[in-house]
Amino acid sequence: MAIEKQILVELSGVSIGYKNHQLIENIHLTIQKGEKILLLGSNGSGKTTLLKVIAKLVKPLKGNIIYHYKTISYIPQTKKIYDFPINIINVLRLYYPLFYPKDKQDKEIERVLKQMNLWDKRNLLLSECSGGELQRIYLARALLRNPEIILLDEPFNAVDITNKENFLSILEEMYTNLNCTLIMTSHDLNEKILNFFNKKLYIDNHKLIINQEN
Amino acid sequence: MLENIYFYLPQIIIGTIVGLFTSIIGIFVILRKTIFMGVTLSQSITVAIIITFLFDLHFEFLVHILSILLFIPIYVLHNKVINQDALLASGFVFYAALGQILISIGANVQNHIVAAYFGNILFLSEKEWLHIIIPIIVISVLLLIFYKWFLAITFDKEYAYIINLPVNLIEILYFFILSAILSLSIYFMGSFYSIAHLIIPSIIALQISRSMKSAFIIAILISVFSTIVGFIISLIEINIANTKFNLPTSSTIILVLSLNFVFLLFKKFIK
Repeated sequence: MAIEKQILVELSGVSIGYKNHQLIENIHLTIQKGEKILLLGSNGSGKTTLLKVIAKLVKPLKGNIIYHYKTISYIPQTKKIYDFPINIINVLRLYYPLFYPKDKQDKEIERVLKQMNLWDKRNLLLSECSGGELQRIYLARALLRNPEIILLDEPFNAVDITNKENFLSILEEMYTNLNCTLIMTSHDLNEKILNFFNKKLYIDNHKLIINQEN
Repeated sequence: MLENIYFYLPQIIIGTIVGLFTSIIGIFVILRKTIFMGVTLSQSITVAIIITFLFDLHFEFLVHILSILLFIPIYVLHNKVINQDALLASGFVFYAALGQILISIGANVQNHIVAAYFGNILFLSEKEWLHIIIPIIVISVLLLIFYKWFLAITFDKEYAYIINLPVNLIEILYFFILSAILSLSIYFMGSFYSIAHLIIPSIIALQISRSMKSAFIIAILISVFSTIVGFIISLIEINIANTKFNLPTSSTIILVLSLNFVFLLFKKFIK
């Protein structure tokens, strides 16, 4: 008997885009717990917009979406941060509730920074971090929330091949520990990346094509 | 006039306090890349102050309410147009022109222009400067409580939405504090002084700081130093060809602030 998987997001007849500019039309998609989804498409095809719709940051142009998840995390495209004089540990402190006990915060932050191999660099300013380190900072920030879904927007844009492989192994570890759903956008067709994910979505000519491995 | 420095002590204290708070909020303005919005807001506040001058109304909360009303169309539109800079620039020149027209309608035009754009701190009555106390206490409490959230949405607004922070409420609170500080600053020291304090101390501080805490402290120190030095210089009587005069206070403070900036650029250049 097949085990029924928990559904986290359901999209039916959804079209996304911006005023006068439809990016993807008529999306029918179910996102389940434990899936590893890769979203592929050319630049400007609507990958980031679809992630933002799933994260409730952008409203769809039409269609129905039912959100079943409680916690989600979003890892944005990595851009170098020059102007913020803030170190790694203080960035992670920003997103706690206002009166959350500081000793509890510090314990949780220590745990995720050690997991991301960033504990020794905790006092480094963000402007001094490499692309790979910034990604791990965002991952650490995501981990603090124990999310059911982690959205990753083009995480390989700013990293070299060795860092890509390191990043994939970190993702694998996170996936196993959290038992979460990963949704990542990319236009990189590297074999290791393709093999890591069990469900691939292609955006082609304003349509979303689903390719699932069982 | 320098020997009368104690006579002007209350004015120096007010100038220092409003400058200090303007430079604190300036850090957020710079980090959020909303300098132009801050400058346009300062022009709408200048118009609000001119209206209160024109109709001889009491300061209190009226300037604040008027300036928010004047700024609402700009704030609402800025999220809906593609070229935000062009909108803000249009708003800036519109409010500058409106301010000048309103001043020309009333009597005593020259004094009102000077007061609105350059401030009239030396001529404030004792009763008037008491108005600063309550707003400053309210602003300080709000900044202390919500500092972390202001920084959180400044750093990554999208993530703040995702983790369900009350982003819209924080935005409203931020603009409320920004307009309250600018209202006080423009009322006492003029719009040019306010813009200078909004931008220069924070830009210098962010260039040389290694933490947010030190950025705030350096911005405050630069602001306080420039205000006190500028004030003192403006009290020195200058005698050129038997003509005695004093430098205008707000403009002298702005010049001292600008010299700090030039010094920073020079230091960076020779590095």
